[in-house]
Amino acid sequence: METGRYILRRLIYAAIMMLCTSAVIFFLINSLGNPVELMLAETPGVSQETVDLISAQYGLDKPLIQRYFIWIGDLLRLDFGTSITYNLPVGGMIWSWGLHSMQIQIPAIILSVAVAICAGTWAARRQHSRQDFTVMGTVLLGQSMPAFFLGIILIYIFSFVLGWFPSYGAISTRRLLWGSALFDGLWHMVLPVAMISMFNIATLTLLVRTNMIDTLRQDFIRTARASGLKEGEIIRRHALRMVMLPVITYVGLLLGLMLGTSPVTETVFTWPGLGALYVMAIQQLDYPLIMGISIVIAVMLILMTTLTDILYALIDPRVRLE
Amino acid sequence: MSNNQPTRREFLQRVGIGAAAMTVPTVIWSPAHAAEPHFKIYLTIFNNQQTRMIWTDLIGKNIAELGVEVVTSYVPPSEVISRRANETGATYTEGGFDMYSERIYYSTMMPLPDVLFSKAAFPPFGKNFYRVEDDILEQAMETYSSSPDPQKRAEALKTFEHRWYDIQPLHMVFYPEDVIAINPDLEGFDATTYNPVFFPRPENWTITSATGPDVSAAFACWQPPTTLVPMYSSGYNESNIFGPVYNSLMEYDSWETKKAVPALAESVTASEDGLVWTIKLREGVKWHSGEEFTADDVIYTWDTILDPAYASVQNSPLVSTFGSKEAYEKVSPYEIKVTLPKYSILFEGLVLTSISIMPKHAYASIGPEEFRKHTISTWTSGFTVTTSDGRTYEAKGAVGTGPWIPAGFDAMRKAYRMVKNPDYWKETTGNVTEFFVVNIQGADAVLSALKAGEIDAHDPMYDIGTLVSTIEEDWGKVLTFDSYKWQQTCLNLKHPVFGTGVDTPLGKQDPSRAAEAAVYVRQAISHAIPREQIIKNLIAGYGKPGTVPMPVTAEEYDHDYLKPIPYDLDLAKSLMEKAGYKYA
Amino acid sequence: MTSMNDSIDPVARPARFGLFGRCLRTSMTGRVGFGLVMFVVIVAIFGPLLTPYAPKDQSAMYAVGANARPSADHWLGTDRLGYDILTQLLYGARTALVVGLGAVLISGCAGILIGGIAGYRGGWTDEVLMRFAEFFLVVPIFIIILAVVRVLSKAVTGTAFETMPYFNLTVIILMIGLFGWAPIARMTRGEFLRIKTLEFVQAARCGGQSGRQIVLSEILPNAFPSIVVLIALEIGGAILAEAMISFLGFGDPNAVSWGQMLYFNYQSLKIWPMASLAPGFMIFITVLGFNLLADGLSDAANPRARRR
Repeated sequence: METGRYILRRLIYAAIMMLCTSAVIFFLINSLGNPVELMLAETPGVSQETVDLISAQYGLDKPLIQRYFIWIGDLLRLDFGTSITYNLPVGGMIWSWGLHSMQIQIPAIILSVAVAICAGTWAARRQHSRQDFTVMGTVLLGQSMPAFFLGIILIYIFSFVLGWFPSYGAISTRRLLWGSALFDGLWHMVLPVAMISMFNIATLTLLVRTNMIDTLRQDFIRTARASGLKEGEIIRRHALRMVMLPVITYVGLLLGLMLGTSPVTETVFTWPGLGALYVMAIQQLDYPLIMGISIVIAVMLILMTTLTDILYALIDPRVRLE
Repeated sequence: MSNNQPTRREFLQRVGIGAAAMTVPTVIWSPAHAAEPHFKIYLTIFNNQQTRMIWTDLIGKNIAELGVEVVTSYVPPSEVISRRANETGATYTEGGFDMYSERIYYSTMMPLPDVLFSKAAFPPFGKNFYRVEDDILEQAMETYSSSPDPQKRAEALKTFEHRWYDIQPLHMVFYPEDVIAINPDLEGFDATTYNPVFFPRPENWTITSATGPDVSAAFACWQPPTTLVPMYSSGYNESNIFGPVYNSLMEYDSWETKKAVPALAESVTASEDGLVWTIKLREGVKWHSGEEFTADDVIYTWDTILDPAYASVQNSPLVSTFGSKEAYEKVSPYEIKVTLPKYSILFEGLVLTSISIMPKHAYASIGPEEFRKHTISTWTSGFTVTTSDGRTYEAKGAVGTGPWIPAGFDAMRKAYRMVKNPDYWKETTGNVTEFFVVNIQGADAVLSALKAGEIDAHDPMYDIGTLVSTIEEDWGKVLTFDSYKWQQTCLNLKHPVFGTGVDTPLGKQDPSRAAEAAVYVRQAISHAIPREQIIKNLIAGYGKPGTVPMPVTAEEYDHDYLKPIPYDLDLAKSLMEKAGYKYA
Repeated sequence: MTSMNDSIDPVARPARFGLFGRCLRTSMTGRVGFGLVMFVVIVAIFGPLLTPYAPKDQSAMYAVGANARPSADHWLGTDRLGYDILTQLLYGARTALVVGLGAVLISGCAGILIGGIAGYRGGWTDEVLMRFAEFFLVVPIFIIILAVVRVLSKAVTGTAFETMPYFNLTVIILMIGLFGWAPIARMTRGEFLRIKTLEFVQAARCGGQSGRQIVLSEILPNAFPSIVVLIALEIGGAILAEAMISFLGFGDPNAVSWGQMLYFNYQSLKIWPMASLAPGFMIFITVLGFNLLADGLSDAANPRARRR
């Protein structure tokens, strides 16, 4: 019963948060002026009447508040409007570019979790040893490395000097690797995924290690040890389960953020992802596109954090009493 | 804030580390300026091209050397574009602009200075964003564009060049060369992109290493296109894609000769006074849909562009050429008669060669507000065209008469695809059957793509000049073309100092000499532009120093009079002194 | 170690001075981090004395040219813009530190204030403030900062702000600061909740001290060690954030920034790698320095847990 109430409360928070975010995005972007004027600015010979006419066609002659609710209504029907610079439906663009973002983010997250659990556990079991120190040192280096610098170095070494991996784009235009779109896509993903994983691995390893050390100190582990279970068994059977909780929270956050966190990666590798599209939209002040991408990122984020919170509460009922 | 070097050093020596640490939080430095700046310029720099960002910034610093306060900012081009299109000539602080830089050209192979600089072309209705207003220039442009006599035209152009050189309304920085690296196995790549009359012509490309019947070629350009409707396009990103699909009445045979030859027109003849033109159209030309091309399509295209509701970028030159729709009429399905209200060189130089003819049967039903979002503009979906004999044709993009048929946008590759038109009216020589235009951002990335065999050529916007030394012979062949363009810094010629001159000391003292004072200031700025250094360091020598808005390789360029303008700060300061500014 | 802690007299105030000293004495990472940070600070203060060039001095364009190899005049060569690379690195240290310290000053003040109120008051205030903080904890900061930088630079046109030197940089610092307070607030709240129940606080309350006195003289000083760790981390984070924003081309054209050096030079990496690698390396060691320092401080602040 109490879990039900908690979930309900979480959902209400989420709804309020979405409403606030959408208002902020809408009024911030619209404070910039009339997008139609910008759209036609390059076209000489357009009179004010034409501008007004087209503004009316886009519904821009109505008061701001009214437009906000119209916009919300359109969003609920998944209508994001049309990009000013590319004249394409924004919804379709977000979908197509967003898929490319996920294409590198999801493998990167899976890879990071796998590596972090192994490295974190391994380091935790050897706390204060030389191996632990090495792992922790690497983690700190990884956390301090600016992503774009890493990307540039990766391109220089693996693409320019060695020529092993392509340095741009998501797929070959003509000559697919071994004639297969799948292999070709994977081949293009290697460097961007490596770049994104780097930071995630560092943070997650730290998280796993800290929690593993705490867990291994707890009574039920001692009991298990006393009962003669092997150390490996204890970690797999008991400790990992406890450690996974904060990891799930963090992964939920990463999933929520995955559409918007990599403008830098995508710029460095000219990867056609949503982050790169967002940078282009901002550079060209493409209002519908900026608003569309921002709201999608915000909604994803709020949904994922709410979802992880609920999941967490279901797994471990103690948290909601925090 | 304006601590300069020596005082800070003395300060440090005397007071020591503790006090010095206190100064850290202010990122202290600021260029050592003379006491009070003479005046202030807001220099807005387009944030879309790094090389230009660098040299514009460099020019700004040199102008600052003259005791001018230069406020620099990076902005998206759209912002400057909206700022410059005001009716009053407002300065930056009033919502307009002071100074920015851009690459510009005449959109035709024939120099048409009046399109860019004529008084009649003031914004927002015309293109003279800078408000160039000088009686001699005006007279020369007018004579040039309205006299059918070539002798008179040549003389007028000469007057234009000389006057420009003397009063320097805007500063030409350099004439770039287009540097393009291509696949060494590609033959037949003989022209650079020059919107709207030159674009890739893959129908004449041969990939020598290719075997089998299906040969593909790929071409890279930097940004995704805005719209693929020719009458809306003002840029390369667009014409690289729609160019191969459409034809115009006349086309240029090759980059080397730059000579106009008939295309959709079979012949074009003019009356003695240049006012009445008879256009005979080529018979038997088919649209991609199978419909016959006729005079109705030409009339439809001109009507549409003249209609203000469509807000075409070609509206302004067409209005000034034709005046109204009465100027042309269909004589027969294959003949059009044009009666110009007065002679205009725009007809030959722009209307015949630069306007892509659109299909009436396919486009006439599309309203003005739909045009930009329609499949013909995006190529992202399909639409059905019904021909006059009742057949239907499924178009995957635009419908044209050109050598390439759109095959839609490949979302996975982010590429625009075209297949060769088997029924093209003209003989073609290449073996390429499938053509892609891909967007690759960055000069580095485009060379990697070439190395990987991903693309065969690219558009000139990449400015790969400085990277030429990294290209190896086995994967890249470097070609250079005279670009027919120039890079310029643009001044707002309504600015009280360097525009009208009323706020210069000389102008204040003697208002009748204000314009003269402004000329001194502009000449001073011109001498503060390190043209040779910019060419050497930033574009690896692929360019020539700029003087006037005329392509340096054009035959009209007067090499005897237009000597390079030296970089000389002392000379510049003495010119500033002529305008009444004092130096310590 | 556990037993040692158990023996501390619960009424006695925990030692709060000498956090830095303990960090340097006991933690290897702390020592290395402190060394790196000091290096950057010294470079920032004395750097300008080591170079004859002013920042943004493009005079090399008229002499050795852009992308020149190292010479006696230009020890690390020049970059694509004709700047002396060494000079840019030295002045860049100032910008980096100003960004780091400025942003953290804002986020630190806001975080401690909000977290303190939430932790001390509890109840409804706590609930609302922490929900608010939660939002800031997860919001993708880049997306917002990029938008705000662009929007503001358009919005201030024609106003007094425009003439303000380093306006763009100030906006970036402000934004990084405004979006960085949430972790500090959460940590402060946690510490306040914990400390407020400790006996020396109870003792002070019984001694008749007012709420404000208790917060300022008892709770805050004791919460400080944990907060300092976060602050050190955030300085590194803020420097990194500014570098990334500049790298995407949204930086301040008038400031000397390592991120901006990378933005202009990474396309010519193949021509002259130094111009990109050197600023990248500087960002790396600066951020690393602060991260290591935070690690060392955290060891010193919680000797029992050793790294969180």
